[in-house]
Formats: sequence, structure tokens, C-alpha cells
Amino acid sequence: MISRSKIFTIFAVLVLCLVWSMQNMKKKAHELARSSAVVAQAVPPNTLVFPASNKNGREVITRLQDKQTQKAPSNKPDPQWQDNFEKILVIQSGSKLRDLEVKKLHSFVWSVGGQNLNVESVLVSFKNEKNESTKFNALVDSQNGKIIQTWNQPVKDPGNPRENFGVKLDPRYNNE
Amino acid sequence: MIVVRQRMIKTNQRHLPLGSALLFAALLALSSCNPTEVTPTGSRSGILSNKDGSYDNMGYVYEESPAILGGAAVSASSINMAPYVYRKYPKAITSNTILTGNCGMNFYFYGNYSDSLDNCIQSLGNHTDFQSLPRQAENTWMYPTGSKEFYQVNALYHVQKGVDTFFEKMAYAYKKIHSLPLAVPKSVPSYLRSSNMFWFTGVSSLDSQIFRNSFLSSYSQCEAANNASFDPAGPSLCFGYHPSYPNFFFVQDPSIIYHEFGHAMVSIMMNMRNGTATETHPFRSNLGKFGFDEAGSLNEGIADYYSYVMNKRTHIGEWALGLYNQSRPMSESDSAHVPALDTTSEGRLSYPQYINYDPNNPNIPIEDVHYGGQIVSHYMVALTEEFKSQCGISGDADGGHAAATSYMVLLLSETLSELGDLNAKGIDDFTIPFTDATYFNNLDPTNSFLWTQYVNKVTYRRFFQVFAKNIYKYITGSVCSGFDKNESEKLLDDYGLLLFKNYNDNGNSTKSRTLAYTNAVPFIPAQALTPVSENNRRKSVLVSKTLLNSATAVANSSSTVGFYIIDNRTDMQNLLADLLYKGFPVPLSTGTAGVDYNNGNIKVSPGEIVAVIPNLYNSSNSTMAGVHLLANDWDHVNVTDRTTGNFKPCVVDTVTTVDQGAEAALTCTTTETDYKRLVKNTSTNLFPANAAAPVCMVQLESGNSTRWVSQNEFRRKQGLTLQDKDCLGYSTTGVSETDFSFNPHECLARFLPGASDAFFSKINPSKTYYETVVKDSDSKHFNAGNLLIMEVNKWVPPGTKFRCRLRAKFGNCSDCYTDAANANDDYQDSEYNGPKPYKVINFDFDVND
Repeated sequence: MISRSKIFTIFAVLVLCLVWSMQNMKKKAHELARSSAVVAQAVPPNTLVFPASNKNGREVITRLQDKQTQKAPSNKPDPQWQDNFEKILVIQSGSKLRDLEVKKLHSFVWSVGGQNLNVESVLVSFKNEKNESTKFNALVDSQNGKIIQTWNQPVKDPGNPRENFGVKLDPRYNNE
Repeated sequence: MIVVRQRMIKTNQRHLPLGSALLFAALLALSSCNPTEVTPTGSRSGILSNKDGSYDNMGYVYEESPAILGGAAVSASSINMAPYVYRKYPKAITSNTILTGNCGMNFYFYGNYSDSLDNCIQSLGNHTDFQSLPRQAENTWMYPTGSKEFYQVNALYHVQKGVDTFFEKMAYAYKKIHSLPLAVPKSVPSYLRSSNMFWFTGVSSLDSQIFRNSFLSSYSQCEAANNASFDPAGPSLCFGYHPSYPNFFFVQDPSIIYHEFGHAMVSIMMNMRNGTATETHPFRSNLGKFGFDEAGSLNEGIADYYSYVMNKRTHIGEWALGLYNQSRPMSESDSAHVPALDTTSEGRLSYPQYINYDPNNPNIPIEDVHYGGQIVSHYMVALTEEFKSQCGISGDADGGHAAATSYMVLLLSETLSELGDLNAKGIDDFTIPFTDATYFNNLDPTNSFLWTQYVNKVTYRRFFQVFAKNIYKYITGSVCSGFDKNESEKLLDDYGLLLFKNYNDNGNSTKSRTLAYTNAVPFIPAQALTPVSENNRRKSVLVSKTLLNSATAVANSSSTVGFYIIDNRTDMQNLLADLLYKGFPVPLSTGTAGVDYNNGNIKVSPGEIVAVIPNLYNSSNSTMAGVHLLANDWDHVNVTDRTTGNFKPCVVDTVTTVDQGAEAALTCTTTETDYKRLVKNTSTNLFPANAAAPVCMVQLESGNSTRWVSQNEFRRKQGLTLQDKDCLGYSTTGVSETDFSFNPHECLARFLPGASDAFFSKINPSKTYYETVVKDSDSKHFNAGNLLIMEVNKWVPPGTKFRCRLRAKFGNCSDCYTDAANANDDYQDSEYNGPKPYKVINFDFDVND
């Protein structure tokens, strides 16, 4: 006949074994996770998985499973987009642009305010009338050259910030 | 002859150690042997011989600017760099065979891994140089002082120092962040190494699609007059010149080199979350726009601070900016400051009192990012000093400078990477982004750029809320428990920056309060909301948004207007050209509006492009600071007809009522969580049932009543017979006559994309913005950041009445950010698509002939 205390001891040993083995499994799982992390880190950075392409070979940017961009684009690419885009810049500059260069970097489909559009990612560079250079990036409608977004504008640090540009109030506004 | 005179220089001289003084004396004595300055390129005069190879890869450098090494009397008009170069002891420049530098960063993530990028820096003279300078036949980089090559070598030397220091501190930050338990939400991604987003490279095979170059170019004698700059689209650094002083160059001042590299560093940190090993977000986050805003001020303040990280001096630009009398201090103890400032709690350079303060000209306010950024640099220097004294590092050989500034880079990288997160995830799974379509930051990946740059752009409030959270999490909670939450909040408050009620650290989704971090990443548990201790808020005064109005709403003076109109043709053309030169195209409509229609009558007329400057009025007893006004599309209408997209405006204030055609129920009771524009869907041929609509409505007369309607409804019911192609913003080419992004509800008047938000530094109690800032400025100019730009269709009949519903919030607003209905938790990102966080400012105008 096994005494109650022996049963309790055997039970306690079993529980302890169970806890130990669970912890060991957990530890192993964590170590596995660590090692896979290390493997992930050790993968050369140029291991590239190209995003899916649509029928025209145009990349559909599915930004981290953003389902909206799966819809077909509304617009159709037109080679004239670049002329239109350049015209937009020239109009705004008052024809002061020099050496305007629009370098196409990337073509893809992007959701713009709920609409899917074929777009061109471009790098714009030009000089002003003082021969000073400016560059920025723009996302442009592949059909009509409309500007959808711009980014990477320069950060300019003038020697004298008091000479920064602005507009003077018309003297007809008498605020004194 | 210009003589650089800076009060700060005297201060620095007082602090120069004896050793430095002796070294400088020795330098002067040695340099006197070779007084000739600009030896022609290619000359070998006075160059050390390297026959035994002991000077391999070395070049002549100046460690500091002439103003620091030479003192106040150094003249910019006859500057000779020879005395500032210790020719007997040249410094290592690069072991590469061309004048380029290499980068490397160590990543500790369950083991040590390092990554190196060869030729990550290229040092050129100006934009006509396309080839890097080759190493000389004797294997040195020693060129005559003052030569073009000499400056290229010096630029590389200092940029490389800045880069090495950044990677050293980032390695520390990365290790500390990722040594914390998995349960702690982190922003700097664990996959930073595989994504390559620690430099301007991104996914390797896509480099050419994201950056022009995968290396940082430095132009030591750039073509820019009176300017230095960082150009992220290059990426490049540019160090300009002064047209009147042929031997003066910005590159002669290493503090300016560190400042410009500081901008590059900010750009990197803002975008650390914007790529993985396999894909990159198509945009990159900026910190700042054109003209004045607080994001730009933060960028300048951090860049100034980086100069302090590098040279330990609490003053920047003694030489390069000193020539313009514009150098800047970074500590209240600097003698350049007005006497009221000191390092006591009361004497700190606090927000918003000193936001427009120029120590070089303290009586004339200036609304400028560089001077506004002084509050940031002063706070950061003060915080660094606190770390030095309270974190057990003061006994280090350098007084704890290296360790304390590493803590700061940890805080900056965590903060900026969260603020600039365009993938909108906020956190990650173990080694990769989580896969759920749940977002915790900047709304969602499609609209994140709009959110982070415009709708909920980075302000002092937003930045310092995240920064305080990270101090609590990483400094108090990990590396320095001696610097506790109260001390952190008190220091922020000393600077008037305790502008938030909680740390917004509970991790709600951008679109649903019921979704938290743990729903996306199970090993990150639910987070508690950390409240700010209200006892610590003494100087940071919060004000209700109800007390902000346009000037006409409160003032009876006929000379005070609610909105200034600028429609002078020359002014507008120059403004548009300047904006483009700053890199901000504002796409104008062709054929329906243009500056040729501008008549300069300071009214809105058909066909004009006008600048609108709201003259906001503060009716409270405290200063309002960092006022941001939006004129972009938002959810303020109830779409009544999906075939036309026509709508009723929602009742969002007491100005537009149900009697005037507004709707108080239906979709007006909620805010749309997905941002969609009111544009026809081409597959269904219907407009969305819920959408963000343009801000400007038109008054339509029908019978004896009038009501506010969409511009699309007006053009059809008022008999204008305007076709789509006669509308603003319509554009086609030969392939299709349809413009798929055309919005017919902005056919008649619209704020131009890219110029549809405005920023105002502060408005004093019972004053207008004009009275607070512009009236006492030297030029009486409005800052470009104050302007909204609108175009008006040439076919709009004179007499047509418009109402544009602009939205305003400000940095020290008590009821713009937290939701009383949700235990004062911050509003979700999607709520910034609606009226709740804002005060609606109505811009009413008639079109005049």
C-alpha cells in the first residue's frame, strides 16, 4: 500500500518534471526564434523579393498587405505625361527654370485618395536664375503628368535667415 | 573689411583648456614658417614628403574654424587658413584610392553583426565635378591650404567624423533598444540591418529607384551664395560662399559641416521604418516644409545640437554665420543671450515666449526655423547635462559627453523613426513587420505621407510627447533610473514643452480604439496610458481652442480684417517661383486660372491666383503657440447623391446651420476612418458614400432661401454650363479625355495642393497674429509658411459667395488632442479627418470683378 505522502511526492515530482520540460521547451523555442532571427539578420541585404507585377509588367505596390491597391488602375499611361509635368513646373517658375531634368526612377500603381492610378516616381533637378541647384522627388500621374505628391525637398540654411523669402503686406491694409 | 565679432567667441576662449591654447600657439608659430595661403592647385609648396610611407592616406586639416582658433579679430576678407592647419601632424583621411569615405555600423541582436558600406561618402568640389579626386602618387591627401582639393579633403574629414560618431551612437542605441524584453514596443526596427535604412541605400536592387545615389555627396565649394544645405534627393551636402569675400567658404566652419550632416542624420532616422529587406515605401518623410513651421524648427534644433555632440561647444557657426551676425547659442549660459536668460527653471529659453527670439538682434522678432529651433537645441543640451550629472557617467574621461549624447541619439532615433513611419505599423513582430492590416501610426500606408506631413504633422507637442515617452521607457526605465519621470517632466516644463496630458503610450490602432498592439503582435501586451503629473506643469500653459477665431469675429475695427489677400501679379509670380526653387511645386490649372488674371485689388477676382493669410485672433489670457491651419479635404459633408457626389455640409459649428442647407445627422455623426477623396469611382461610376470633401462650398440661391452647396452642384444649377475641362484642376492627354483624379467639387475655387496648410509661431493674448509677429518685425513681411494659395476659376460670376471651412489647432491647446469621452486618451489618427480636434475657421469671400 503506498502512503499518501508517497503519492504526493510522486505527484509533486511529476508536476516538477512537467514544469521543467515545459520551460525547457519554451527555452528551446525561444532559442530557435533567436537563431532564426540571427539567420534572418545574416541574410545578405540584397536578397530581394520583387513585388507582384500586373499584366503590363507594371509593378503593383502592395505596401505591406494594403488590399486597396489590388484594384485595377483607372488611368492609362501616356508618353505625354512628362511633357505635361514639365509644363506644370515651367508655368510655376515663370519661365525662370534652367537645365530642368526629370529622371524617371520607377513606374507602379498607387492608391491616390481611394483611386488606383498608374504613376511615375521621378527625380526632378533644375537650376534657378542664380545658377543654384534644386532637387526633389515627385510622384506623377502616368497619364496626364499631374503631380500627386512631392518629397525630399532640400533643407536650406541661409547665412542670414532674415533675408528669407516672404510677402509684404499691401499698404492698403492699414493695421496700425 | 569685415571683422568677425562674436560675443560667444570670448566665452569659448575662456573655456579653452590650457593645452588647446598652447597647441594653438604652437600652430601659429609653425604656420608662420609658411605664410603663403592659396597656393595654386597642383603646387607642392610646403608639402611634407612621404617617402617612408608614414603619411600614407593623410591630409592637412583644420579641426576648428578660424573664429575659434584665431579669435574675434580674424577677417573674412583676407582669410588665410594656413595658421589653423597643424602641418606637421596631418590626419588620416581615407585609405580609399579616391576621395571617398566608408561607413560601418554594428548591430547587436542576439549576437554581434556588423555591416559596412564602402564609398558611402563622396567629397567633391562643386556640381561640375563628377569624378572623385584620386589619391596622390605619394599616397597622401596633402594639398596646399586654401586649394580646392584642400577643402574637399577637409569636408570629407569632418563629414566622416560626423558619420562615424552617428554610427557609433546608433550601434549603442540599437543594442540598448533591442536588449529590452520583447514585450516592450520599439520603433527602431530590428531589421534595420537587412533593410539598409541606416543609410541612404534602402533595398539594394531598388537603390536607383529610391535615391539618385546610394552615397552622400559633399560639395565643399558649392555654387550656392550665402547658403549651406542638405539635399535628401541627392543625397548631398552643399557648403556655399559669400559673393563679397572670395576666400570665405562655409566649409571653413566645421560646426556648419556637423549641422548639415545633422540634417542628413535626421532624414535617416525619420525613415528607418520605411523599408524592409524586400520593399520600400515610395515616399520618404521630411521634417519641415517651406517657411516657418515647428517640424522645420525641430530639424534645425537637432542639427545645431549635433554640432554640440561633435565639438562639445554650446554655440554654432561662430565663423560662417558670424560673418552675417547670425551665429546661435545652445545654452542659456552663453553670453550672447539677453540677461533675462539663465540656467534656472525660470530663466530657460521657453516656448512660446522665445520662439521668435534672435539673440543677435533681440528687439526685433523673427519667425524662422533656425531661431525657433533654439528652444530645441537648448533643451537638448540641458537634458544632456542632466544625464551627465545624474547617470553616473560624470567620471568618464570626457565628463560623460560620449555616453550622454549616445542616450540622446537613442531617444532621437526612437522618436523620429516613430514620427516618420510611412508604413504606419508603429511596431514590429520579432524580426519583421507584422502582417495584419492594422495600423498604429500615421493612419495607414496609403495616406501616411499626408498625415505625417500635413494633417497631423510633427509639431513641438507631437515630438516632445513621443520624446518624453521614450525618456520614460529607455532612460528612466533602463539606462539611468536616477533621471526619473518627474525630473523629465520638470525639465520639459522649464522649456514650456510639457504640452501634453499623457504619453499616448497605450498603443491604440489609428482607426479603432478596441484594437491594441497585442492584437497585432501577441507578445506585446496591452499598454497602460501614462499620465503627465499635473504638478509638474507650471510654465506650460494650455488654452482652449474655443478662444481662437479669425480677427473679424472679435474686432470691430474697420482696419482689421480676418484674412489678408495678396493678388499682386509680381508678388505672386515671385512667390510661386520661390516655392518651386524650394522644391514645392503647387500645380496650377492651365487655361482656367493664372497670375495673368491677377489685378492687385486685394480682393478675390475671377481667374486669379491669390495668397490668403488668415489673421487669427487669440481672445484668451495666454499665448497660443504653434497654430496650424489646414485647407485640405476633410470629412465635413454628407453625400446626398452618389451619381453627382453632391452633398450637404455637416453642422460642425454655429456658423453653417440646418436652415442654410446643412445636415446634422446621418454620416455627419461620425468621422470616416479611411481617407477617400470625393472623386468618382471609374468602375462603379459612383462617388463614395463617405468621403473627404474640398473645403470651399458655394452659396446657391433657390427661391427665397439660400443654402451652401458643393461647387459641382452650383455649376450645374446656376446655369454656368461649365464642362469638366473648364474646371480647375482638370487635365488630360491624348490617350483619354478623362482625368481620373479630377474632383468636380473644386471646379470653381480651390486651395492648391502643396500650399493648403499654414503655420503661425504664436499669437499673444488679446492680439491678432499680425500684431504679435509681423507688426514689429523689421521687414513687415509675412513668412511663406503663413500663406495658403488659392486659385479661382475665370468663369466664376462676380458676386458668387464662397465659404471655405478651414481647420485650426495649436501646440498648447487643451482640447485639440485628447478625448474627454475616452478618459482623456489622445484622439485616434482617423479622427483628424474630421472636426473634433479642430476649431473650424470659416473663410467667407465674394468673387469681385
